[in-house]
Amino acid sequence: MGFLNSLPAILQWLQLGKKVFDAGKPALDAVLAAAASHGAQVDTDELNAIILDDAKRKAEADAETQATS
Amino acid sequence: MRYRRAKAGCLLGALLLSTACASVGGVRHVATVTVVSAHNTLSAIQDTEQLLVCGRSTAPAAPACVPIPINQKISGELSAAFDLDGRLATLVRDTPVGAPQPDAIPTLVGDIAQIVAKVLNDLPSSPQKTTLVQRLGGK
Repeated sequence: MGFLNSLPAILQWLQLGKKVFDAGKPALDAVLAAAASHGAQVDTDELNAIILDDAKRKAEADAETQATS
Repeated sequence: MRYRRAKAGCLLGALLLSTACASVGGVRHVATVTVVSAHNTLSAIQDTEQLLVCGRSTAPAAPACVPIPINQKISGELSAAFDLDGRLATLVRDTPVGAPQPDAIPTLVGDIAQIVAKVLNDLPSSPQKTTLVQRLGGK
């Protein structure tokens, strides 16, 4: 009986919670999108650095092959 | 170094945003980690091998040092491996976020792994080689 009496109040709290979540969802989505974009950019920066270093190390290996022949 | 900071930030973010890190980059991010590992492996091998060439001040005495003909052979193999690694890195960089993994990635990684095995086999036994192999995660 006590529970049934408080049910409307509980439903009201749930509805309020959903409103708060819905209001905050665009902000959360924006944070997740920014994180994804940042992660992809970090990967791209790292790969660019590796591409440059690979070329440098390949040249060193080539020079080593010729210098000792 | 920047990559480690980003990963630390990602881990912190995971605590705050549960699924954020799992969705960051996906296949492309996993492939990037593979490229970084391959590059670090090849670099460690090249740096160590250069110290072991017979006649250099850093080299151990024979038979632990790398004879000149073997140095030439290894250098040629490393040149090919760095070329493959550069192609792999370029392929991953040009893969859009969320796109499926390009078919060439496993092939390139496999080719690099074969060269690594060959070069490690060519290196004469020495304490430096043992340290290198342990550093790379071998026995």
